[in-house]
Amino acid sequence: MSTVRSWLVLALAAIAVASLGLVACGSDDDGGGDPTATSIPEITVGDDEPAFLGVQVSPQPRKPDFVLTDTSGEDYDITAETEGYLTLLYVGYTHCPDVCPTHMLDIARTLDDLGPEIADRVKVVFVTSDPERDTPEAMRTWLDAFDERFIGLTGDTEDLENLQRQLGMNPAQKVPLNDKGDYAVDHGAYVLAFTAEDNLAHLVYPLGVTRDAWAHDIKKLVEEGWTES
Amino acid sequence: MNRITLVRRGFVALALVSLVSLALVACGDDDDDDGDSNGGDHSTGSATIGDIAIEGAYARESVTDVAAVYMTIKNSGAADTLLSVSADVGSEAQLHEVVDSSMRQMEGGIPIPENGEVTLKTGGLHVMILGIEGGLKADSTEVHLTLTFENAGSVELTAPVQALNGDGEMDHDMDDDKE
Repeated sequence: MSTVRSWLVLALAAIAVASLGLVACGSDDDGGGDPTATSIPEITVGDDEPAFLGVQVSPQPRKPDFVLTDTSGEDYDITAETEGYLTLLYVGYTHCPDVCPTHMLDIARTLDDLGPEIADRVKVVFVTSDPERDTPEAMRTWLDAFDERFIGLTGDTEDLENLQRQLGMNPAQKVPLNDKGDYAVDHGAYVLAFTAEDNLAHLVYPLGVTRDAWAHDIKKLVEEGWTES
Repeated sequence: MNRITLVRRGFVALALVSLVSLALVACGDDDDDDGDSNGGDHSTGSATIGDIAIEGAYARESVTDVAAVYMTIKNSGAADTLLSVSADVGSEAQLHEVVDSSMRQMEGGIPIPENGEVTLKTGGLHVMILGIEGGLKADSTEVHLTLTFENAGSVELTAPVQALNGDGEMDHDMDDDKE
């Protein structure tokens, strides 16, 4: 079994290296160069044999200290509200057909499986990368389809972009889908797990992480906390 | 030129994800699902035309006006290309690939290799349906698709809609033996 485990870790690391690396490099492939890309800190993946199945990153992003607006229209101080909780933070948008609903679905069903004793010690925070379409009401409806406990946050564009930069991501960019005004939003496609003890994201979860891996890591982070392996 | 490079990169990523899933299934239970779906209903979600066989097609329930459709396309003949998809819901269906956090349209279609297969799955290739008024509801809806291949021609396909709140997953046990 340890072979399988190592293999999984390697595969996840490979995927993460690919996605994190390219996030940092921006989208010069399609000619839409990003002037902010040069200021993004480089994230590298640790090579230790980890006790966790998520991808270890270094330097670890710190939990963003922002006051945004939640789905009931109230101020939400991320640092204060999530203090003491394992905080899974994801930047995405509700008109996202593939990556965002997959992450939300995997986390929601994993928390269901783990039960309230674990789930109540986790906060899932969805920060929109598309404030134009993601009103508090729209986010609430969308999040409720996965889990009514999920927190949805919006804010002004500058705050949202600064939050993404602090996380080491390129600020999200609109991608037109046709000439009728439909658009997608390119954004960091991984979930950051800020641990309760130190509010750092030692681990991130790219797409492709199975619910088995999610369950393993959430349970361990809640029950034992983060430990350097 | 650029596009071809990106497509290859996508395949590598897909292959890695698939291997991860396979590895876990192999040491998990006997369910053959890869965990990204409940597999839909195998009595629908499939179709054949010429050398092309489509299997396991399903759409995912959506509360916004966009939804993704996934499937596996197997080819027992010469190389072909999935040129376009149309759907009986929404205003438009597009072929997309997620590469390195970016979604891009497959303007020239999706190449289907000779005697090979291509899987449209989360984090890789998908059909994106836009402009679905009221979203796509599970259980009450099926999506009727027409797929057009360069060589094989057009084929109709019915895709069931997978619920968001369903337990469409394999982990009925936590596999403690993996510790």
